[in-house]
Amino acid sequence: MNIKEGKINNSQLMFLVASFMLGTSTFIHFMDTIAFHDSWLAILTAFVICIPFVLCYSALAKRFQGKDLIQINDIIYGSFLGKIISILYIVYFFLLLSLNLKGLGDFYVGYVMPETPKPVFIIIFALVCAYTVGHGLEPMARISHLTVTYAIFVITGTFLLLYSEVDFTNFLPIFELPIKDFIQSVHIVAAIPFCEVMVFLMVMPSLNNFGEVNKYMLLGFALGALCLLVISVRDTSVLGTSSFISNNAAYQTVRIIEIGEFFTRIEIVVAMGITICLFIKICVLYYITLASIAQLLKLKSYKTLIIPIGGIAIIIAFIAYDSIVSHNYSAKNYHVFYTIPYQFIIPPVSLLIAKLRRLPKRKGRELI
Amino acid sequence: MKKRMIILFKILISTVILFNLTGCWNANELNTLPIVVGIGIDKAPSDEEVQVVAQIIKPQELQGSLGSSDGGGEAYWNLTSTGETIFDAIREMTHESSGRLYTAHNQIIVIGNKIASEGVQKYLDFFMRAHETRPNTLIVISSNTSTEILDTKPELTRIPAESITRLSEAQEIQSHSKKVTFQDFTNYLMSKTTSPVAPLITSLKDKETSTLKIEGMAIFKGDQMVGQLDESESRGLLWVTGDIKTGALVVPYKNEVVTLEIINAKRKITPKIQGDNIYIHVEIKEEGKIVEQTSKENLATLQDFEELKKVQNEAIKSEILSALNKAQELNTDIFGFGEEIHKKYKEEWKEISSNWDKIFPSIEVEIEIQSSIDSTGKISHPAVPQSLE
Amino acid sequence: MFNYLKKIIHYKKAITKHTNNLDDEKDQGVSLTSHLDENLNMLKNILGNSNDIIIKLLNIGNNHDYKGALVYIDGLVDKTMLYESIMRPLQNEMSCSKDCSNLTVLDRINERLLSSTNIDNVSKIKLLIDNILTGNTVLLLDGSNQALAIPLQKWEKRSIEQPVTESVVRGPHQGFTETISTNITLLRRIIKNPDLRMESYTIGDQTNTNVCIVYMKDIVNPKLITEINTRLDRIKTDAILESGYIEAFIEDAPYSIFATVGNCEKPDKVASKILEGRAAIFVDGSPFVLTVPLLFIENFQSTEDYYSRPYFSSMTRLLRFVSYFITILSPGIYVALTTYHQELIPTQLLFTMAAGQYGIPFPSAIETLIMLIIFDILREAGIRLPKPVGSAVSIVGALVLGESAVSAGLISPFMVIIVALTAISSFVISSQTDSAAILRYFFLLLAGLFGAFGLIMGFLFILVYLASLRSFGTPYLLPISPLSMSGMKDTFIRAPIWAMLKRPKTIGKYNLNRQTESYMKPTENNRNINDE
Repeated sequence: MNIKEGKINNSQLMFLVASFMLGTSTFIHFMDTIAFHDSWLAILTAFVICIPFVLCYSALAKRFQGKDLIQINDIIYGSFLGKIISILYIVYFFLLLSLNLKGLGDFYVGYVMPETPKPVFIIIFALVCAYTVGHGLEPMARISHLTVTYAIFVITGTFLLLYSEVDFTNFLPIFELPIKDFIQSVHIVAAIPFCEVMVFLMVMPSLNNFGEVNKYMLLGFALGALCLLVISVRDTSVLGTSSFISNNAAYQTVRIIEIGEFFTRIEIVVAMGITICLFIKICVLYYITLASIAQLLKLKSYKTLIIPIGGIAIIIAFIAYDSIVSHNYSAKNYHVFYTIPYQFIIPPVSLLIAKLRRLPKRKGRELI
Repeated sequence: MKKRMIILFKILISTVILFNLTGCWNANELNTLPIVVGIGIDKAPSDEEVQVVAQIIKPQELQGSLGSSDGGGEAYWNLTSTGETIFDAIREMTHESSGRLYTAHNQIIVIGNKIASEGVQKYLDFFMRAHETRPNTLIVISSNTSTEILDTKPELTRIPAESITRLSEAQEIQSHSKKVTFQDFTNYLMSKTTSPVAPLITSLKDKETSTLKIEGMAIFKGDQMVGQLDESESRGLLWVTGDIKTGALVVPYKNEVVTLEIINAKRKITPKIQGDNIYIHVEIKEEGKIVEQTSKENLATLQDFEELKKVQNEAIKSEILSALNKAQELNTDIFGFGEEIHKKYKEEWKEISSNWDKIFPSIEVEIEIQSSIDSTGKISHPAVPQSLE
Repeated sequence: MFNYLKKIIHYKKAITKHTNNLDDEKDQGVSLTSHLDENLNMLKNILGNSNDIIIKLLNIGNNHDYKGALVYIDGLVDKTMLYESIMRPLQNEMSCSKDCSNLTVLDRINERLLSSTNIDNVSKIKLLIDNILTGNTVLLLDGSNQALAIPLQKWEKRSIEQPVTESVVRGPHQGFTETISTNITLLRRIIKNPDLRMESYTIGDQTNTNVCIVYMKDIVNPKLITEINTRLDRIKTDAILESGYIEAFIEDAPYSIFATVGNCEKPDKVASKILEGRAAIFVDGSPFVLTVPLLFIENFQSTEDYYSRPYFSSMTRLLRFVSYFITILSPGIYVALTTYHQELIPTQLLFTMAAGQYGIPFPSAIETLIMLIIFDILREAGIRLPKPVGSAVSIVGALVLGESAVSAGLISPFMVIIVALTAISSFVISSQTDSAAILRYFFLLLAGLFGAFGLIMGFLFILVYLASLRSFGTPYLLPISPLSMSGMKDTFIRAPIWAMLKRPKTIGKYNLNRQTESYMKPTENNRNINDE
């Protein structure tokens, strides 16, 4: 599999982005413990704030058509500084991959099958991801619209089924939060589910048409954000205050559904939604980690890297954080700051430098 | 080709190893699974420990149609054990039961009187954490011990826990009590001002039969039970919380009584802050119909309807007032007035919430009731000889 | 260095290939001599003494001037025709002056005497043999180094019947037979268009089976035909006994449990596929015609969908999807629910299930496995048996295994329901019965090991696998993924015929428009038709 062999089209990119963001839905719940019933406001604000950044990523991809992040770094920052930045990015991608794998294990051990050891879930999940990544970008891009459709179906379906339990007065009073907490929660939403779409700088070079990349990137981003918003609104309006002590409010909310005596206990559909969205997310992260390492090392194909990188990622997923508390603490206090340069500083700066230096230069038909 | 064979062989070997290593963690066969349908919590006789009763079904006894296999034994088994904490006690039960208790189908948590008076939060903590607990699990408070409730053999179903569930779900027919789920109770406990309520259940024992009865609701202050509402007081509470579905309203009218059925009820609570005074305006819109009258007079006239409406208003108001008086007497905001103020006045809330215990007993509640009478049922006149005038 | 070695190897291979070709030409190169005896000896050497090979010596011309011989295979030739149109004219009506050389005699026989069409002049011994083996009658003449191959084939064959695999209520009832010419005729009868093109092949060193690619010239993707050509050319095997052999050789994914080459038995179905831009491969000796490329969705489509009203068709279409999921997933889901996720079963149902399971000696995974295996045994037994015995098998299966196993407390009644549901559903999608049977065990295994997690992972794995499959360059899951909105009209629902304006996007991309005008409203006249 050559690094850039598979081609995806614009709508596939859109669904990939949305699916990628939905994959995070379970992991940002700790934000509720800061923002309480104003978390929908935080999501909305973060959405508005993130739009220019997302546009910046797609502008970068459009400017350097067919070049991935590693090559862009080389072009803009020169081969030495560019390589250092690229390595930092690869570490970041890799960390995201491991943490998401760990998140999947946590979810299953916590809610679905508590007695089974976590490694079982992580290893099997990673195996299926490795198989998918082995086929390149195309298969995951091709099933992404199915996962998004399923997620939207589940979200709207559960909302309708829970209609009798919905109490919109749970959102009152609006904006009770101290401004400091509000900024913190906006930052969490912006950094963890939203601007993580930065990783698509490694995917966008595989587009077959760069004409409308801005539009589709933004559409996907908006779709993902809308789904997250609806999930948050649903959870808060149904659960009320108890959603703030729940570790996974989405799951808890759906457990309430009881229509008649029979149509009940359908939380598995949510578990399935979480799993398949996370599947897309982890596959994308896996792919970009492999692709960027292969690009950095100038390999023709990343196939040889699949097993070693996957293995290391699994092991890091095992040993990262000794408890869910430390995971949430670090996500809240360190991770969001750690991601600032990757998401909010380097891409805009790259774009600025590219504009000032009129990069990329063309040599014949090749971009250099 | 050879390479492929080697790979296939490797896959085969790893699958076989996988078989050996896995497949047992969460697996439970249905026929050996002790399914718990009801849990009761009491103080142990020693008073130091907690006593837990788990009601486990016996599927083999459930087989066949209801009631036909009366010759067989009970379809349930109440297992009692004590421990320092709930979880401890539940795990102690493995000494007597044939496996790890499966509580995901637990339908009801019965809290004994002593526990309720002591404070329930620490006993419910385990249930909130356990992934098996469903948010729809019902909570009832026993007027005595929970063991007594779970031991009462029901007449219409074969499992006590199931009958309690049915019973508390049936409360909406008369609206003299309401079902409180685990989810509701958690939200109550998390509120700064709202006091929890839960249906109160007693076991009425005769010589031979014993039946269960839900009589009113238990009132909590924080997480401690401090009193109880009788039936009409409970309905007074439900008028304000908007949980009235239907019910009978017997009103005196012209020395006789008229029975009205509540068809529809809505409520609106508007808090008002004027200077230092806090008013709560409760507006209730009710719709009823005449279902029974004792007088021989024809009440289907405009004047009578107007009069009846007034009497109906009074009846509703008196129910609400009785509940309000009880609540203010016990200083428990069971109506959630505090939260209503919170939602409207977020600036003032900080100060109000810290003084809520002082404010609530003297809070002024304006009750405005607009009721209407919809119909007179199948007949308009009572079945008495009619005079043609 | 390796490249160098590779080059050498390639070079060697090329040389051997070349020499092989030369040998072939040499074989074919043996020509007939002008002596009848020599030629007949040669033929006897090659054909051996088989008693169905008839060599009939005869003197030609009313003066018995010329010696000749007819060679044919008994049973492949129409004997009446042979006598009427060859033997009689040759022996009685031939009048030829002596000055005619032997060479021209043959031509004259060809031109004047024989009324049969399609007569070939053959001069090479190999061609001659081929002609005899395919059922032609060969006329050899003393003094001529050429022979005439006269097609007079006639053999016992099955008449056109309703196909067993795809019977319909509405729609044409005829199915293909084992004879390739009949099959192609059936297709020609449907598509009367000069663009219907055929390319013939003979494959199989021993069987010399006729294989024919059929396609619409202005609709099909020319690259598809080239691809099929190369794949057919690659086949070097001794025997093609059924179209399944061809399928195995030209498949995209030979290890896949999902077929990537379609087959069907009905001319109207093949015609519709050809008209969508696919190519059909007819194989002599098989009533099953292959169509490529195959999409996964085609397993859920039936010809009858298009002949009945769209609402009902859409409903049955959806039912087929539901049945497919039931048949592959229900044993797995049952096991996952009863052993891992009892939490997800509604309480009352759980009580009933627990009561049914009481006293069953097997874990439910094993119980399910046993029942599935028994079902597969019963099915396999039922298919091959003659019909009267088959019903006996089903009675034994249903009564003994269903009733008795439950009453003996070996199997829970729920299990019987699940297996019966699985079995019935599996027959709804008849073309996917094989892959579904395997998938069922796959999901059962995963559910038994990992519960719902296993099922979800298995499902994702299969989904990714299907998404990565291609059939002759076309993505296997086509209208679903990659998403094609126009294809959706014929996926989960079946839109009215007039609304399907376009051919499938990837397959028919060279000529996308199926029809230009959609449904026309009734004219104003419509109201007045009955007025007079």
